[in-house]
Amino acid sequence: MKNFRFIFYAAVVAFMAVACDKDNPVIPAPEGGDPDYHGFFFLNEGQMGHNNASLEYFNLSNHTMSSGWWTSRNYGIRSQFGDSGTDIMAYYDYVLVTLNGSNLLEICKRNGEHHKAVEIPACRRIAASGDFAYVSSYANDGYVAKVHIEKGLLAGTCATGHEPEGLAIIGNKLYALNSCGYHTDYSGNGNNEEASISVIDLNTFTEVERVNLGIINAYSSLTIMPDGHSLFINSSGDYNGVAPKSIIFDTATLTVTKEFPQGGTYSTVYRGELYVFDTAFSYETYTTEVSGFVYDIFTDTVFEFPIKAEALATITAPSGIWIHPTEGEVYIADKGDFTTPGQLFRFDLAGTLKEKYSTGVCPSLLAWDLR
Amino acid sequence: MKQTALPAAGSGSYISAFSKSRGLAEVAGAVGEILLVIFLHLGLGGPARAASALQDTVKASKIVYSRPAVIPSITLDSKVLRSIPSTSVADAIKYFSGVQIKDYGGLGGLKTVNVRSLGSQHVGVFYNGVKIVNAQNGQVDLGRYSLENLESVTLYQGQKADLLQTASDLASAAAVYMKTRTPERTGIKAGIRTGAFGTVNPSLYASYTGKVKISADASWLHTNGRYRFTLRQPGLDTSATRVNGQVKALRTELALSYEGLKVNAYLYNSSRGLPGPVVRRLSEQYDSKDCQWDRTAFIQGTWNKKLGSDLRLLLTGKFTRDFCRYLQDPSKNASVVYIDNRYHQGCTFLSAAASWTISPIISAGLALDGQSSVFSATWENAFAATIPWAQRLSALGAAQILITPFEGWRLQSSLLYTRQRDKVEYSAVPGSVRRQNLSRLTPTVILSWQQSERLTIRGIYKEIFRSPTFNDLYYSIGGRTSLQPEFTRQGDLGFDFSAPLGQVGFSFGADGYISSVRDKIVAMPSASQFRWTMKNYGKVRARGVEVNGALSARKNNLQLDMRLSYSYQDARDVTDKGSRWYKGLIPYSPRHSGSATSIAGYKNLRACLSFLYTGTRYRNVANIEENRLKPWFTTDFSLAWQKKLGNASAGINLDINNLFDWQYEIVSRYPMPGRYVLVRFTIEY
Repeated sequence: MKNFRFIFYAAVVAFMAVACDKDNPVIPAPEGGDPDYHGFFFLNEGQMGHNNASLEYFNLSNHTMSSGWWTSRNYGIRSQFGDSGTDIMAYYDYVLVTLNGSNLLEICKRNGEHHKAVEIPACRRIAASGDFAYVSSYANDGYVAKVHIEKGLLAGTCATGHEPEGLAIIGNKLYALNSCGYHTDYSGNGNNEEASISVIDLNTFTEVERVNLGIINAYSSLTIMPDGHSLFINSSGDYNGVAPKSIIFDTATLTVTKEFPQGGTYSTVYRGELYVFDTAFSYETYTTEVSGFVYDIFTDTVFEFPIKAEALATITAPSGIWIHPTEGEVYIADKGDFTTPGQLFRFDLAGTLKEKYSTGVCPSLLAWDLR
Repeated sequence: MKQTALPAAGSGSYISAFSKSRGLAEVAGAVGEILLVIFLHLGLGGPARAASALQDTVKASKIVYSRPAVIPSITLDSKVLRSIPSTSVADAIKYFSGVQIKDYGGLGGLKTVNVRSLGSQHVGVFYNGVKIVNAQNGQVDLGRYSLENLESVTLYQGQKADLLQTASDLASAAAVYMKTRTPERTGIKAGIRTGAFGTVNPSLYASYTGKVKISADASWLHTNGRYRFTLRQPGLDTSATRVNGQVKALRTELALSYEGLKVNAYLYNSSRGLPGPVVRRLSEQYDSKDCQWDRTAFIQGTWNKKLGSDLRLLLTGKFTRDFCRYLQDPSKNASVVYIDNRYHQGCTFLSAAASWTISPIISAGLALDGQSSVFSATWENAFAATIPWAQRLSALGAAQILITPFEGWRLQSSLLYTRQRDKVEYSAVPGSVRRQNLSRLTPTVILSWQQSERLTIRGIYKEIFRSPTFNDLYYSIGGRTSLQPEFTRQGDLGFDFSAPLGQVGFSFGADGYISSVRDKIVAMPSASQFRWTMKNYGKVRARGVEVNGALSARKNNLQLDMRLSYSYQDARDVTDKGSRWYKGLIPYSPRHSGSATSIAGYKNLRACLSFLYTGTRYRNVANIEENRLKPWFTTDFSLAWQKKLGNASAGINLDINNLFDWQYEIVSRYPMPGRYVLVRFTIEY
């Protein structure tokens, strides 16, 4: 039964990917048969104010991480990558990285060679379509910047709600998640501003609609669900009375279609299923709880997370989950104490730890390298 | 003010020692070399020209050497304080052994002192015997205290071995005492300092000596804080200008003394920019434009009275008002979020202490302190203001006993009892009162043996803690009232030796110590980037050796003073055995550091040359290459000249700081200024 389901969804995903690729290329998608993944780009956020964000490359054929990869390819141009990396995206010939503390969108080639840098204050996350990258920014009460990737030039801006985080492009629309993280009342008094989604028309680059989500502090990416039109969103709560949760938002109807009682700070889609992973912090108990689940949107079923709690407990500060599209190996980053070099854990889907790799400070994001 | 004079011959030989040391500095880093520099300086290293030349030319008319101490302590007296190139107390303290000054660069940046890697919040700072309290963050910015009117600055490891002192004097792991000078005559002195960073720093001092001695002191500082720097990184040197370091500050002090009564009033008012770290940027438009305003006012009084032959009484009182405002304005810098935080602190401190000689063998001391700190803040961010209010009531009681059973032997023991009650309220939520109580008993034992006038051997054991500050407890929103105090334990064994050596006064001391800090309070990010939390997480173990030496010689119009210090320390993080960085050297703790200062005076001329060395250290407990900070070595030079004009006198001071333009960082990514020159003109009547 499980097998059958897998084949069915794999087919759906493959179809969608091909469909997307034609008119509106999104994230690198498998083309036909077995995609050939060589490795992944790996971003370490670094420690704020220390200029030690770093971009590394993990080679999947021999499972080695080349630390200081970007630096080694740009020696003499700029010896250090920048400050506080917040997002990474591999897009055609380019790798895009937002460096929040440097207020830069770094555009480099897939071989690591620096191409352009564009100044965007308080930049957060990235989406891309056609020749353009879109970058969310907390500055000016929240906006999305449009950047011509090859020319490295700012092509326009579009105002959004407060503290836009995750971005997703579906069809001709850009969805920006207004997290309202700085508009959350962490003292527990409940003066929270509701998070919303800005719907931006890519043709006119204007906000056409803003939909309140009924959640707060949506510190989250926007993960496109296997159905192709729903988005998975996390709400971190206020660490006091309002507990974390997560929702699914349908862009076709602009409504929230599903709620989960757990948070979902980190999520990824693998073989038609959503893998969710969360660390919920509470000021009431002063503890961080690690939880995870797997969700099938087609059958509306929640499954158990493959990696057992005992294995997860060995990870000090889990941050980020990624699953190899074909090999099915699970990568989970560990930020440790947030100041010393972190680690990257590799599990198999059965939940067995395969290996650990040392990373830079605050390992945070991964972008598969498809060629 | 009396001017002392130093020999031209002496300073000539210094230049040779100094140029040698510069050569060594080029290959800095190695301990042996810094030691050699010091030995050259002291004349212990065999055929050292400096010292031998000195001994040939100087026949001392008066031998000056310091008395051996029961507590490892170092004092800089007014002569040294006025000779070294300095603008604030922080500049003087950096010459002490085992001390690291955290300095973000420029005249206006925060300067705090850390002793033996215990952490700056464990160092008590005292102004004329009364502790400066900052309940908000536990830090005292030494940049705000001028050396101008100080008689001495003393650092004690552990505590002062005095039976008559407030209980608060015993409540820190190390203590810095600033003592203002008592006027010697009626007069007036005016001065102005100018030079680098667009500095304009006029000052006025007036004193009256009658039955009551009064002095008033005011100084105003204006600086743009701009300086060129080069940040050296592999593959790329960044040269740029440091911006947003401007400061405007007004400091006024009033002192009054009458027999055993001393009263001080202090007012400080400033506005400054806060430069950010140097990170990769395309332009300057998103560099820090943060601003801070500070206002501190206090009035304090001590009354010291002898009652009969065996009893002494000390009454102390202090009232402080502090205001601080921090502004981050997105209209000036689009990359930041709007923050306008205002903090008000009010502190009342009262203490009564007594000491009495019970018998020739036993003396005792008792002290009782009461203190109330009230703290309120307005945090304005983009959408709301929260107004927390906190109060801390502390009662400290100390009992001390001193036993001198045999000639030369001293056993001093003290017990400190601390009781503290915190109350916090968020005005937005009625009834949201949180309370936290704390009570601790901490001991100190000091044993010393004075073999003769010349040699003293001593040992100390001390336990003490620091309470979590209001920032630790309540600034990380929601409050972390379960935080425990940060606890330290230290043991020290050392000696002081002083003697006339040929024709020069000579003193030499060394100490070895071990210490530990547990339940270290550290900030860690919570699940999302929007919030940080405080934890009792860290554990540090340290050991080290400190060596101090001083030479002093004088003949007629010639005078020469030299001091040197060297410190070896090994402070390691032992928080988590399972960690990859277990036993890593803790951040900003150099294994080797040292300083050498020499002051030479001849008639109305005085020259000072000083060296400061800080060895390799790491900015993080992960002791990897990427986190390594290069050693630095600075040389400062100053020249003072004074001329009598009838009843008045005029003087010129020339300070050349960082003579060889060394480019360095004390705090990672906060580059320090290279060479800079300040000139000061004074006239006094």
